[in-house]
Amino acid sequence: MEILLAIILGAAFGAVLQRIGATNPNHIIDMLKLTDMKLAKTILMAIGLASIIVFTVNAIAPQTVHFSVKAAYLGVLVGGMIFGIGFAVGGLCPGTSLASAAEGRKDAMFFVLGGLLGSWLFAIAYEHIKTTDIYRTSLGGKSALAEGVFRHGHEYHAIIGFMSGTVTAVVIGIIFIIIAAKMPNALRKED
Amino acid sequence: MIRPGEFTWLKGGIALALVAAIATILVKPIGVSTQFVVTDTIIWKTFDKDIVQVTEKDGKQHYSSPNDYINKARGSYGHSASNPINYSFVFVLSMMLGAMLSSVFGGPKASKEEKQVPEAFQKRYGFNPKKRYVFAFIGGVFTLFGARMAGGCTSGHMISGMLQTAVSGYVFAFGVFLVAIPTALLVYGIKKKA
Repeated sequence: MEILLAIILGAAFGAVLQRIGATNPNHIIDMLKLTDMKLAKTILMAIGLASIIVFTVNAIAPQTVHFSVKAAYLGVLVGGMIFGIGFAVGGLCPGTSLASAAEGRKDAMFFVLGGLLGSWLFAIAYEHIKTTDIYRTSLGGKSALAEGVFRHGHEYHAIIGFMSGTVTAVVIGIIFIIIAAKMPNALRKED
Repeated sequence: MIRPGEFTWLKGGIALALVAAIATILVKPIGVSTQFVVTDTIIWKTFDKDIVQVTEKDGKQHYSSPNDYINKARGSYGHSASNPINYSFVFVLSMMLGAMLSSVFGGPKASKEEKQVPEAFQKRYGFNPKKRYVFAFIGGVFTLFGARMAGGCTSGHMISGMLQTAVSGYVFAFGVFLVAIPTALLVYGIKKKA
C-alpha cells in the first residue's frame, strides 16, 4: 500500500514540479535575481494552502496526520547558506534536478552527478563535523510554531502558545497566500 | 513569465499544495535529498561491501556502517540502500517518471539548446554548454553538501517544513535566500558596460 502511494504521490509531485516550471533553471535563476517571481508565488501559495489543509485535517482527526518536524540547529542555517550558493550557481535544487534530468535536460544530469559527490563528501566530512557547534548549537530544536503537531503520540514543542495550533497554522497559511497573491511578477527589472 | 504548458502560480500552487498535503496526511512529509545519500551508499557498496554491515539479532536485521554518517539513525541509510524498494526511494524514482511524462504530455517543453544551456545562463555567458555543465556540477556539489548538513532541502525543509510550521523550515529558508539572492545577482546579473 505504501509503495503504491509512493508511486502515485511521487509521479504527481514530479508532474507538478514540471508543470509549474520548477524543473526549468531559468525560473530559479530569475527568481533569485528577483526579475521573475512566478515560482516564488507558486511555492508560497502551495505552502500556505497545504498548511491550511493539513491543520484542518489535524483539527478534525487529531494525531492522524503524519507530521515529522526536523530539528533546527546551527547546521540548518550554515547548510542552508552553502545550499544557497549551489542553488544560485546551478539554478536547480535536489528535487528539481532529478525531475529536470528526467525530462532530458543535460545540465541537470551534471547537477545530479555533482549532488551525488556533494552528499558523499558530506558523509566523509560528517565524523569531523558532528562534534562541532554545527550540530551542538540549537536554533530551537524540533519545534513548531503551532500547537498540536504530534508524531507517534508525542507533541512537538510549540512556539505560539496563546491560540490553538489550527488557528496559528491557518493564520500563517492565509498570510502566505496573501503574500503569494500580492507579490509582483518582478521585484526588479532585468538589467 | 509563463511559458507554454506551464500552470499559473495559482493553479500550480493549488496542485503542489494538494500533493504536499496528501503526502503529509497519509504517509510522511515529502523529502528528496536523503535519497542522494541512499544512492551514494548503493554505489559505495559495490566498491566496498563492508560499508553496510548487517547483523541478525532476535530475527531482526540491524544495519550499521564504519562511516559515521551512513551509521546515523540506527543505520537507516544502509537499511534503505540494502532495500531500495522503500517508500522514499520509490517516491523519488516515480517523481522522475512523473516529470518525464508531464514534459511529453502537455507540460512545458524545452528546446534542444535550452536542454543544454538555459537562457538565463546564455544571457551572461553565451551558448557555452561546457561552462554550463561545470557550473551545474559545482552547483550540485554545494547544494547537496549544504542540504545534508541542514538535514533537508527545498522539499523537506522549505515546503514540508514550513507547511508544518517547523522552526527549522524557516531557519533553512532564511539561510538559503540570504546567500542565494546575492550569489545569483553576482553570477547571472548582466555585466555592466564600462
